Amino acid sequence: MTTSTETWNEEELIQTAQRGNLDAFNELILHYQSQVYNLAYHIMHDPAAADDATQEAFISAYHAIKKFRGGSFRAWLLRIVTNACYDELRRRKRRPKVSWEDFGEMEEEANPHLVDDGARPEESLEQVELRALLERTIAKLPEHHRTTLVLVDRLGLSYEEAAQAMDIALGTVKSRLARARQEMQALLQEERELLPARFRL
Amino acid sequence: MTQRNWSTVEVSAYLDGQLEPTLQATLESDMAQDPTLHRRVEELRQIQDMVQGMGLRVPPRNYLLTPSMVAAPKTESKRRRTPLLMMRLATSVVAAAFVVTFGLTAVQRGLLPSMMAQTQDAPGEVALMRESVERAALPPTEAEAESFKSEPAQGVAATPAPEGTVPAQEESARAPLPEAEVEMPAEETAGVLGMGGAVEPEEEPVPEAGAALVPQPTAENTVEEPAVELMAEPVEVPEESATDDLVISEGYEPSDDAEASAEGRAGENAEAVPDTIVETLSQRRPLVTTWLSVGLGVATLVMLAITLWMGRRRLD
Repeated sequence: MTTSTETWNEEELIQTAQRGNLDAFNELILHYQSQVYNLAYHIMHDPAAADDATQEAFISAYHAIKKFRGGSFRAWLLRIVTNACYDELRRRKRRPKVSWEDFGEMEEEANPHLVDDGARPEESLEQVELRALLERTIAKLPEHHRTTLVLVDRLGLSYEEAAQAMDIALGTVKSRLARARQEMQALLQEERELLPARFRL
Repeated sequence: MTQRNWSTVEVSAYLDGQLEPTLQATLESDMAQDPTLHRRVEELRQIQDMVQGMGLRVPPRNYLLTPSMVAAPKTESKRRRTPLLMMRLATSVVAAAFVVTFGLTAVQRGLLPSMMAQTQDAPGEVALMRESVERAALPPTEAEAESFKSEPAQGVAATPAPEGTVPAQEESARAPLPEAEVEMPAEETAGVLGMGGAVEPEEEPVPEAGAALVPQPTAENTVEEPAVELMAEPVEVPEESATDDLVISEGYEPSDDAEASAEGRAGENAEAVPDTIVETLSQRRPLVTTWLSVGLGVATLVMLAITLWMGRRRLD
């Protein structure tokens, strides 16, 4: 299994995976798992749930890869994880399993994802705090606005890819993204004292 | 020169380079002239920069798949799904049966009143059939008692019956039937009316004043019925008893012969008009379908609840 960028050929890997080659599919997983996990994290706002959703999405994608008919593979993959997350959210709404109080009482050691807040060694304290603030703010957005903002501004998808990932029209992406940015602005205004000086609105 | 009122969607699209070139040029021109618009665009750009500059979270692990991971869950899912699918199918079938039965019940209930009205209005054969069916359905003793009901009005019941016999016209005269519908020989009828008794059975009856009130025998509606000795004296029944109420005269004591004759008549009628029995059954059918639809409705609800419960269990 080769992972170097020199040999990276997405189309060929997809075709090989479509013939049932698991190694080829794992190559694709290694390339996209960070984006898939981050999207799941922002939709679920729960590291453990995002972890489960990511794994489920990759298994579903492997079973469905024969149905992939070209286009953006990334958008197709992100659509699968988006649907998996929405399904899980609907399931949780029907029957909440763990209350926030119970979640708070859990020991951090029991859930390593709570200890690892995603901070990198090279990140300064300011960056860590800013990231935490932005993540909290994004979590307050409505579900569809949040997904659109993450897809375009966080993961760098084009409008067309975002439309494909969410199975919506291009105009809807535009309007949702504009509203999401506007809402982010309003929410950050309320906490502008927590923002670094260069970002104060 | 009035400026265009730029929407947030347009400003947001401008930041991503998704605005049309002409609009983009116009917006930049307006920004140069309008500091408020310029500030608005910059604030939104700052939000975009912040979100884009956040950096991605590092996934807690690799999500590489193994052959067991891609094989096991599918079979497990199939195994768990089969009973649910069967239950859903069964629920659908029962629900469809309920809808059909309920529809049939509604149709029958809607049509029955008009059918009954037609039966009441229809003279002659339909009324005769109903009469025969009712008599056939009665137990022997009731049928016997029925034979003693008489209609005193119209000059028929007042006429004494021949010695030791109960003429069939008593039965026909019991109910105010509009037209000829009696199982009575024409000769006896003529005698009762005092018409001389010389009328031949084969002849067409002459319509007279009392003809509408007295049953007229015809080839179709006359059923030959043997005269049976039932009682020694004629029985007078009060006028009120000319209704459907069953009234047995005090002087009447059913004999073995009478019972036998009633049984024989009932059996004869049942054999003679099998179609009318079918009609009786069809009249009972609405009740059957009603209970059937109620049962199916209950079954549908129960199965639906079980299916929902199974579905939820599978999701959990």
